[in-house]
Formats: sequence, C-alpha cells, structure tokens
Amino acid sequence: MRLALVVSVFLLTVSIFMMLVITVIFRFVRTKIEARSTAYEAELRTMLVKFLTEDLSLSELQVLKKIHSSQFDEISEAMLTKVKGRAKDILVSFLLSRGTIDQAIQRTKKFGCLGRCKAAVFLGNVGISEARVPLESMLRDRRREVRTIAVRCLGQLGKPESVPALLAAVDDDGHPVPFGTVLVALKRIGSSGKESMKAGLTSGGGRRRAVIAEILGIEGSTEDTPDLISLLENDPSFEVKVRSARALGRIGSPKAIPSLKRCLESDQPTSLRIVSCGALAAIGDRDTVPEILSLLNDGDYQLARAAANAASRMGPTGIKHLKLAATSNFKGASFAKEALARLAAQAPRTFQD
Amino acid sequence: MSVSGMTPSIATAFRVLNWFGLSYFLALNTIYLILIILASVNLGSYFRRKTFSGFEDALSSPATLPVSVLMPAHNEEAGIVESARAVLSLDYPQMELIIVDDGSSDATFEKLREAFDLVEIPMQIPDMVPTLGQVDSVHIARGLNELTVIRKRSVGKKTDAVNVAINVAKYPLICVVDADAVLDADALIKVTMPFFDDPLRVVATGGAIRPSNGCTAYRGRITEVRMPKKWLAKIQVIEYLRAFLLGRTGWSKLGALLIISGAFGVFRKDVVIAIGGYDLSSIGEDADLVARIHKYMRGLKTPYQVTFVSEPVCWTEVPENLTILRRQRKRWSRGLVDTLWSNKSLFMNPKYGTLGLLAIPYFLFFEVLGPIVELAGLFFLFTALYFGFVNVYFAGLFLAVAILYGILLSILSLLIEEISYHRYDKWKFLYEAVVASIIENFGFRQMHAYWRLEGVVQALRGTNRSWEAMPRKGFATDQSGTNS
Repeated sequence: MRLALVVSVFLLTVSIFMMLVITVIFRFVRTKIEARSTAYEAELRTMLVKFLTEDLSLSELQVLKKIHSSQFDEISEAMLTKVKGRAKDILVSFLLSRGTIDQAIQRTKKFGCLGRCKAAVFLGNVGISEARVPLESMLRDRRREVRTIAVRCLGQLGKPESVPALLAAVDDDGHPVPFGTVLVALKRIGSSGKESMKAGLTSGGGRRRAVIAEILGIEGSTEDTPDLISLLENDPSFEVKVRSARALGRIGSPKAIPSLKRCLESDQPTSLRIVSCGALAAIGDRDTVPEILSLLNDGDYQLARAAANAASRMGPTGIKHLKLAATSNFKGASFAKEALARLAAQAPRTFQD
Repeated sequence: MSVSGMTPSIATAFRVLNWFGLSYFLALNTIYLILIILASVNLGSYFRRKTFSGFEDALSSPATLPVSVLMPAHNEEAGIVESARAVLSLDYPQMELIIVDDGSSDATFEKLREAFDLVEIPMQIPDMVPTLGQVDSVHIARGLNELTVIRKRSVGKKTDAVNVAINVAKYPLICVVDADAVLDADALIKVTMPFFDDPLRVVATGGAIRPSNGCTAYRGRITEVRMPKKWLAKIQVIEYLRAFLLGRTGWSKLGALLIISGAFGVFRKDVVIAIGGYDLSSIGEDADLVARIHKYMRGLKTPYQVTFVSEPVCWTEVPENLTILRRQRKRWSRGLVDTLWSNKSLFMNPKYGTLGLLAIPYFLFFEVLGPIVELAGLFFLFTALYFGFVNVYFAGLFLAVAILYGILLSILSLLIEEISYHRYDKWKFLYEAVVASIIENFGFRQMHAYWRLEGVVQALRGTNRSWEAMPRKGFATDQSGTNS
C-alpha cells in the first residue's frame, strides 16, 4: 500500500511538472509563432494586394518563393471575402491557375467533416458557378454542420438555380438543415430566385411553404399578394399561415385586409391573431382600427397588448381611438393607456420638455 | 496520549476510514478529470469550427428569435447603469432589457432614472407565473423602447423579481443576467446560437462566467482581461475555470447539465411559463429551474437539449473577502441541497437518462456529502496520527496524493485555457494562476469545505432563505476604465 502511495505521489508530481512545462512551452511557442506569422502575413498580404491592384504581374508574383507556402493560400482565401469586382476576378483566376479551387471541389468528398466544411466555405467565398453542384450535393451530407455550411455557401453563391435544392433541403427530414440558415441563404439569392420559389409553393411540405412565405414578405412585391393570401386562407400548416400574415403586412397591399381581418376572429389561434394584428397595423388602413381595438377586451393578455400597440402605430386615427378606449370602461382600457404612454415616451422631446 | 488504551479494532477502523476518505477523494477528482477531458474534446471541436460558426447568419436572419433580457437588481447602485448600457449595446438583432429593482434601499433606481430619462407608464402585468411582491411602478426610457424598469417591493427573493420580469417579457426567449454582470459584446448572439441552429429542440443554454475583478472596463465592456489583485479572487479564477467552465462543458457533453448559472442563462419562455417560472421557495433557483425543465421536457417525451456554450462570457465580480465569500458559498450549498431535495424523483431514475443516473447522484454524493467526507477524513487522519495508528510518513503520503491530484486538475484546466481561450495573456498572470492553483489546496479548500458543510446544515434546518446581495465595487467609468 505504501508503495502504491509513493508511486502515486511520484506520478502526480511528474504529471503536474509536465503540465506546467507544456503550458509554458505552449505559450512561448505561440507567442513566437504569432509574432513571426504576423510579420510574414503582412508581407504576403502586401504582395497579394499589389497583385490584385495590378501593380505586380503574375510572373513577378510567381518568382517569389513565399507564394508556395500554405500561408499564402490561407491569406488568398481570407482575401476572397474582402475583395469585390475586378480584384476578385483576378484573385479567382489566380486561385484557378494554382489548382486551389479544383482541390477544394475534391475536398468536398473528403472523409473528415472539418475538411468538407472548410472546402465548402472556400467554394462559397470563391463564388464561381462551378461550385454550385458540389455544394448542392453537400446538402445531403451525413453531418448536419456540413449541410448547414453548404446552405450558407449556396446563399453566398447567390445562384437562383440553387433555389429548388435549398427548398428540398428544408423539407428533407432525413437530412435536416436549420430553417434560419435557409432563410438567410434565400434572402441572399434575392428576387432573382423568386420565380423558382413560387414554383415551390405547389409541392413539398409545410416548412418549404413557410420559408417561401417569409422570403416573399422580404423580397416580394404587391404582385405576390394573391399567393400569400391563398397560403393564409387555405394552407393546413399553422406556421405557414403565421408567416404569410407577417409577409402580407410587410408587403402592405390593402388587398390582404379582408383575409387578415378574418384571422382576428376568436376561433383563430392566438399567435396568428397577434401577427395579423401587427400586419394590419403595418398596412395602416384606418378603417381597420375598430376591429383591432375590439381585441383590447380579449381575455388573452398578449393579444390585447399587441392590439393596443398595433393601434398606436396607425397614425392619428389609431391614437384617437386609443384615447377613447383609454377613457372608457373597457376591460382593456389599461392596455390603451399603456400604449399611449409608450407612444408619448418615444415621441421626440420638445423645447419645453 | 498513548495508544495502549485503544483496541486493535479501533485502530483498524481508523485505517479503514482513512482509506475510505482517500478513495472518495480520488473518485471525486477522477470524475473531475473525466469531465475536464470531455470538455477539452468539446472545446477542441468548437475552436476548429469557430471560423464558420455562422454568427453573422444569426445576426441577419429573420428567424433569429428575439430575446428579453431580465435583470433583477437589489442595491446595485454601483454598477447598474454600466450593466444596463452593456446589455443594451449587445450585438443582437432584436431584444429588450427589463430591470426589476427589487426594493433597493440605495440609489439603484435613481441612477437608472437619471441615466436613461425614465418615465412612468401604466401597465397591467399578467400573472403567467406566480409572484409575491407588489409592483409599485413601471418605467420606460424616453426615446428607448427597449428598456423597461420595474420597481417592486422586495420579499427577499431574487426569484420573485425574475418572475415579475418573465410576466412582463414580450419575446419568446428570456435571458436572465445578474445586475453586476458585464457581457462580452457578442455574448448574447453566441449563447442563443443553439436556438438558431435547432429551435425546436433547444430549451435552455448557459454561458461561461468569469471573475471580472482586476479587469479593466470601459462603457460596460471588458477592455483588458487581468488577474485580480487579491489572492482570494485569484483562487476563484482557477475555481471558476475548473468547475464552472470545464465542469459544465463536460456535463453538457454528457447531456446532463444541471446548473445554468443565474448570472447568465437563456431559456425558452413558453417552457419556463409551463413549469410555473422560478420556484419562489427555492434558494438554488438556477439549478432548480433547470432540473424542472428536464422533468417537464422528459414528461412531454419530445427530444430536447439543455446546452452549455463555453465561448460567450459573462464577467462578474467575485467576493474579495472571506465573510462575503463564506455567505455566498453557504447559499450555494443550501441551494444545491434544496434543489436535490425538491427534485428527488430524478435520483437514479433511468427515465431521466444521464441526468438521473450520473449528474444527480454526483451532486448528492460528491457536492453535498463532499465537505462532510473531506472534513471527516482530515479529522480521522489527524486523530489516527495523534494516536499513532498511522505514522507521519504514511499520513504525509495520504495528504500528498489528495493535494497533488487537486493541483493536477487545476494545472490541467489552466493548460486547456491556455490552448483554447488564452484570456490571461501576460506571463505574470500565468505565474499567478499557477501559484493560485497550488495555494488553494492549503487552507482555502478546507475552509470552503467547512462553509459548504455549514450550508448543508442550514438547509437541513431550513434557515435563512432571503436574497443576500453581495456588496459590489462596480466598474469605474473614467477614460482609463480601470476597475477600482
């Protein structure tokens, strides 16, 4: 037993000593490497910038030994996110000539998850059409994080041809991707992908339609109102209805008012009623104020509060009705008072204040 | 005293007890070692992926859930304005800050009113979760819709103040932050990232807490990370690193995270409301809430996640004198006993997976009973030494193994910190951290065990349950920004 204790003490002491030595060496090496690479990177970056601004020719650049270092590749890749236009074209052709892009496409099939992620990020930053197909195939990758990055990079690429693949990815239960990331990707693709998105409304699951509704609200125009009204009225998915209501509010077409008013009725889910309230306020038709303010007496606190806030955003008519409600014997008079007080607090101060 | 009066059986009993004490200590430290190793694996994976983690996506996505930041405050005049400013300037697309002034007797509210030009508004507060203290008034900042300040009468419970804030919160996520906390600019977006990645499954996340003593701050942001000046606080830096950062990362990796610090945690509001908010009778409110969330979600039989995110940092002042530290640790200990007792159905219950089978038994056997065994072990060792049942050499070896294992864990934690976050970047700080790792085992650890024991005893006797605010120094707001 005594021997076991002695051995333990010895091993523990040695381990502590080793840990300390490793810690110190690690810090020392890191400090040195950081100092060196900072200086080295500054030099390489200057060369690269000169090349991109055409102050240095390709032949002059290729003569330099340093461009064969892996650090140069890293700097070039980092530079991709910072340059645009002609400078980016020069950089991409330079990377193509070095074979870096082909290597990245090969790496999308690599066994290591991290390697695949890095390849996808690189291809997204390069932004060339050839990257689309490998990135789309990564949407069915076995690892969620690779799929997520592929979605993000397809957004960066911004090709409308990717829209069907992205919409399919939202619906793919076997290979799920974060809803929010797909939204950002489709938002980046923008209005150029709108037609493909609208085509997706007739097929697929609820999540796909929810994404489309959200994007139409951001990128859409009044001509998309009928599609969104149809989703609001007929879609079986609650999430699609909520997102359609919000989208209609963002677009602001008065054509949506009857459908949104119907969503205020008491047989509708509370979340939909709250969102519809906000959407009607965003459209701003003063004739809807009484309907909105009738919700002040609703038993649901959040709905009544949302109704008061919505009315406070509807200009003089909304404020007039709110003032009336605040002085009445309504159950929801307190919400009207709160909304008016909030409005007053947010108003710019006058000189007298 | 001679040993002649003692029978050999008593001597054997002493030896057995000493061996039990040592084995217990080794088991405890081995569990810590496993947790630290798990945490290091997790941190390694996190850092390799950091460059493409997608925070920018979350900042620009319409799907990012808005957050209500809830800040209960009781006599926090020293730092409340800076804390509020720091929260309001966080990088996050949509958020609100609700400060609940829980019956402060100092100038907490006056400072807020002066800094943010508060105006009183009439507000009907619903009772989605139970509260006790009467709300006196609600105020919002002129020209700043994101700040609400509630003045209420104190009932001596922080949980009551948080529950009032939950009732007022309008967003689907709630983030509870201590009034003395200083968050990194990207802390909120990082701690809510799991909700963005997997909004259906993630129900709660917690961020790392680090001591702010000694750091320099300017306008509510930590500008330079430094080691505290006092050794008691330096020791706590190591303690927070080992137990809170790496320990919780390890538990999170096992899917058995029981504690999300009350100083910085994010929860889905609907889930918190469904479980009735914070338990007003609880002392260990943070652990109790997480335990009840686990119970509720398991009951629903839907997949869920309670995650610890080690990167976002919430900086908080730690006690620099023994009296306040003792009070804090006693409260933590009482809170833990209270939580384990309230959630005893989780204990060894396979229905709750690793939480019921690993985390809860660990907290019971090693965190609650730990101080008893540790102090009893020391008592028996010195008694055995006194009566000559063990010789000095043997006792020395016993103690050396126990102490060296503790030091090893602290140094290992330091190494992981060095490789990963590298927050304390000066050589002097590294040296101080190493010294603190060693000296904490001589006196501090034993004192801490005693305070925890006091807390356990208090919990069993059911005494002292009020909210004890810690006196804060706060951050200086001058241009140099040194935390004085």
